[in-house]
Amino acid sequence: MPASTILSAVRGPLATALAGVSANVFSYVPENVPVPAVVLVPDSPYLEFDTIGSSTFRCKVNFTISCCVTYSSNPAALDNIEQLIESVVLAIPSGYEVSDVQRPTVTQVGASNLLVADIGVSTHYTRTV
Amino acid sequence: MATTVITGRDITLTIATVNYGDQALSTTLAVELERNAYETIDGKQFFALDTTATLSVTMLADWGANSPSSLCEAMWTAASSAPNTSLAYSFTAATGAVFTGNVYPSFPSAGGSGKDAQEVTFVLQGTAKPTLTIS
Repeated sequence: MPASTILSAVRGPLATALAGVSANVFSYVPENVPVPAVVLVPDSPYLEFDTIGSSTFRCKVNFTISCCVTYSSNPAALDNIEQLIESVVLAIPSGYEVSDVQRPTVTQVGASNLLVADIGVSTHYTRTV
Repeated sequence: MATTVITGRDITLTIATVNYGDQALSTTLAVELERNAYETIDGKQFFALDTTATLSVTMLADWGANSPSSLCEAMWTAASSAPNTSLAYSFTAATGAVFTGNVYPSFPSAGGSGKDAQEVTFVLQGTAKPTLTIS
């Protein structure tokens, strides 16, 4: 068993750092999304191998942080998601690259509509044994 | 026979016994052969004078790192406190092809853009032509 995993070294700490945000935080994609919610989703490509050498597993890990709020009134939903994005970006710890925020889109989850915006985040991971 | 392809994943770089593979994004060992050209009555003649070796490294910055200790700081300290003391290096291009030699330390650059990981580059002057060991 390695001493570190992507869950323990990357996903878990990021989810923990986001725990202070006023939303439900998930380090995985949940079956149901109780809004407001912040969900850590693997981006594509998920893992990139950009350092030299192959003796150790090292990679760049790309994530999308999906911010979800209730979509009923458009102006209010947009304000809510903007505030959620601001608090999420401020909570992202050092060591993580924050690239950009994709435009909010309305997504139907079950019977309800959510306003969802994705924040691009990446970091580098080295497996330790 | 199938085409042989080696990649950056085959490279191993060690400077002063420290493996830079944990942070290095790219590295190049270049050796230039300096030649003089002479115009003679028989035509142009070339004569090799000297070789110059340089080792270039681009790596993810790790200023302030404690565990493992910072490679940027190690290189900075070497360049600052003992700039005239060469460091032994080993550059494995692929299994069975290893370049070894000595380089003088150099100061890593510092800085970066807002949304990308900080990268540093430095070019190390070789003391002599590297030795290629083929096994």
